[in-house]
Amino acid sequence: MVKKALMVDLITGLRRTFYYFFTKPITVQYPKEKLQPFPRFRGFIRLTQKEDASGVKCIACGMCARECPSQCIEVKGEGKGKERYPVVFNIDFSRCIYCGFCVEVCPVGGLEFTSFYEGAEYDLEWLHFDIAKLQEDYKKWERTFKK
Amino acid sequence: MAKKIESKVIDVLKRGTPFGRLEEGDVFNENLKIEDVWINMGPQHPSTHGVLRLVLALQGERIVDMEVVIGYLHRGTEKLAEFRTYHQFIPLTDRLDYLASPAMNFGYVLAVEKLAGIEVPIRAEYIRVLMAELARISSHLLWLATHALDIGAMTVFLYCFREREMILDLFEMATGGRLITTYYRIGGVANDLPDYFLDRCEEFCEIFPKRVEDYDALLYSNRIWLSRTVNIAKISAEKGLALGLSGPSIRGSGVNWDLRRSNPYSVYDKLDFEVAVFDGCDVYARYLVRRKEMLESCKIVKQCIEWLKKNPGGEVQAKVPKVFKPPVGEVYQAVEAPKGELGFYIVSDGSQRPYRLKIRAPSFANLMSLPEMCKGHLVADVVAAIGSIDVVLGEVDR
Amino acid sequence: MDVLMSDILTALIRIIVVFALALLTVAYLTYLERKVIGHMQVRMGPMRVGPHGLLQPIADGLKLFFKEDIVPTEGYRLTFYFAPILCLVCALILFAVIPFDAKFMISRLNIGLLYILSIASVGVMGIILAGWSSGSKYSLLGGLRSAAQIFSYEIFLGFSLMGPLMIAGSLDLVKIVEAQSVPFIVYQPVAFVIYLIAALGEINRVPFDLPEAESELVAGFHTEYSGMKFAYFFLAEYANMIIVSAIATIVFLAGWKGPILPGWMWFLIKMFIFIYFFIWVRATFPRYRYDQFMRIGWKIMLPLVLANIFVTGVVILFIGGY
Repeated sequence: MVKKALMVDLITGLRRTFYYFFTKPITVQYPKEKLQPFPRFRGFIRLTQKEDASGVKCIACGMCARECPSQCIEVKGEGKGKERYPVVFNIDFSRCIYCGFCVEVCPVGGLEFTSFYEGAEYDLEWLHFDIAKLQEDYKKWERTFKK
Repeated sequence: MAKKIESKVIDVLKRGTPFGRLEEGDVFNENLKIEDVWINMGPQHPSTHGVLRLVLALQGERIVDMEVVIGYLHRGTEKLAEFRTYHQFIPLTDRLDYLASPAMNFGYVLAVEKLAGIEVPIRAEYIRVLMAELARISSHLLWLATHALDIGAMTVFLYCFREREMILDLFEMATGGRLITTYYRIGGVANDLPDYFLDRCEEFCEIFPKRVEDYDALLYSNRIWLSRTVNIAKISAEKGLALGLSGPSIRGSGVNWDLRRSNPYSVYDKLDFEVAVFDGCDVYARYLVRRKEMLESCKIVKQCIEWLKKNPGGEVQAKVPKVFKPPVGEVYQAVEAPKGELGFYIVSDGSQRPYRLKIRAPSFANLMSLPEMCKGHLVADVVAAIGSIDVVLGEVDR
Repeated sequence: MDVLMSDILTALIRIIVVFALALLTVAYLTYLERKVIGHMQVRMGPMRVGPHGLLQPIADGLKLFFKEDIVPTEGYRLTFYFAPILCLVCALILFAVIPFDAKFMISRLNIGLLYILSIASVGVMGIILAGWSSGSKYSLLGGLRSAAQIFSYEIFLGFSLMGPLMIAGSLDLVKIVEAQSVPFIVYQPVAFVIYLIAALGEINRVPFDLPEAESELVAGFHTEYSGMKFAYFFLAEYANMIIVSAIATIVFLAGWKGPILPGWMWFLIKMFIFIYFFIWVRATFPRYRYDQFMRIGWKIMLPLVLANIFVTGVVILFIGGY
């Protein structure tokens, strides 16, 4: 009763918010500061290059296209066996759900995740990546704002 | 003079007022009778948690009737399953209850494994339980955040999100996804945990109980919180069971029924935890249940970390053929998702794709008890009741 | 003639200064609130517009100014336009009698406190009219709630000021301050607490922000308002917050009195303590339900405040004033 009249329960709450008033905010000011994603982060997908930089590792087997739940990959290849290489490789990132099955299923490690995630675009076409665009360095599209 | 005023009033009524419009032929000032006011709450309303629509019949502010209208987020997940291979359906289960995607994966992969009789490596089991419990904490944190916000305590919202952010970081570390993790695979998990994960997770388990004190300071014994939750939206155990209420919502009515205990799957029978049961039957009891569950989940996570640290290395995925074809048959597997009993019923015709897949979504069943809870209460209590049964519309509409 | 002219001139200057400052303070109060609540919630609040978001209120004002002015088809047009103006005017003309210093006020009324209480209750009409004329059920519910709430809390607000008034023996705000050699909060702690609670109810703030409970009634009486009309309500609300804090300062904390610093500074410091308190409360508490709120008012606060008046009266009778 006395406790209730003295509003102890309310004062505990007030004390807690007052305490946090003097602690440092945890906000990360997004375009000015950025958090680095962890290594496993599933961002935009990229075609990996061979070690000798003579082209992409992809052998156009079509496993990724078959496995993709949202059917956003299109692959056409030429050549036979180990010489096989992709002629057409499209990923439609407007449909991609970033589940990572294509990267997981690829037998030669031909696809990899980047840490690029700022894919909000005015132009839908921009998100239709073809084979040339899939080999570019995604870093250049990252949004950076100077203070 | 009086005549003049009356004609003015009739003029106004003809132009239309919030009470209605006077039509030609209506008789003014005769047989005044009390009518229910029908209010549309949602699908765009700040506290219907997504796209839930409630049609309320009000007498003043008291609710006399209520209808729940759902289907605004219907995506046909069950039908989609019939056109995906068993493996391809995993990312879609993430999107059922998007606040606890590992728990959703868990139910699905367990059902498929039961169907095909796949033995999962023990390490994978522990990792799965660890992830599912983290998901439970994260889901309950979001529930507490929005529930408190609905009742007006907005600071709790941000404190909860601060801790939830830590869990999402843990998810990102292990799985690469923050919200939609897609971590579980048929026969195990996608890959082993990164080596720094367990330490970070332990750190979280140390911090978390202290942070729960923050929420308690603002809610637990606060008289405003108590007056808004105690004896509000009561539902008895019998009524709740009859309506298919499950999970924390029914445990708030004193029914000791937790699938992790009563029907153990995975390695839950080797873990030590208490089932949170309170018998207040009201919003406050459901709050207590979830609050305690968060702490218990934290304990389970600690035990999993301990086991994983003691037994490093080992397989995390059973051998499953690339072209996965389970035998002909049907199976039902239920797990304790953060919202309640999540069941997957799969009928297989021996092909790569399920013949039929039915999801028993906990939120869907829980939502049906909402009219029962709310009748006779005030509008403000509807908000508390919705919060207390913790619906996620992605799961309700599927 | 010259004397009259100079009188009018000084009055005009005072009016302009007070109102300009009042409006600026009101605008920056939104900024202050967002900052304080932000830091209490371990975040930063506005940071983008200007250094540390200092220009945010101006940006908000500009945005509201250029927004489309929507009148719902079911609404009652004249009242719909009139309501926000009534609200704002009633809030702003209260500044006319607030003595910021021993000398600095627009006009000195010998019934200053009565004036404030009566004008404040007219302001409620704006909210009720807004709720009614919007033609939306949510607005109507919000309007009705605020009608009941503000009318009943007016009573406790008035009654809680009664004790200090009896001690001071005047309704003149300047005289009330001058009567306080010791701030009245010492003599009247119960009245002070009840005043604070009633004030929270009066200005529709958490935990009593029922008319605009955003999780129940979307935005209550101003659900259908947009653009400048919405801004009027907003300004009125914050102006009321300042007024309520100012009255608390004058009646309970001895207004401008204080050592070393000039009077107006003391006044502002004391006033901002109250404003900070109101913001602090908003960051901490959940919201009461409508019926519970009324119950607190009539069943707990009314007896308490009446007892307070009675005790004060008895003490004055026997001691013969302080």
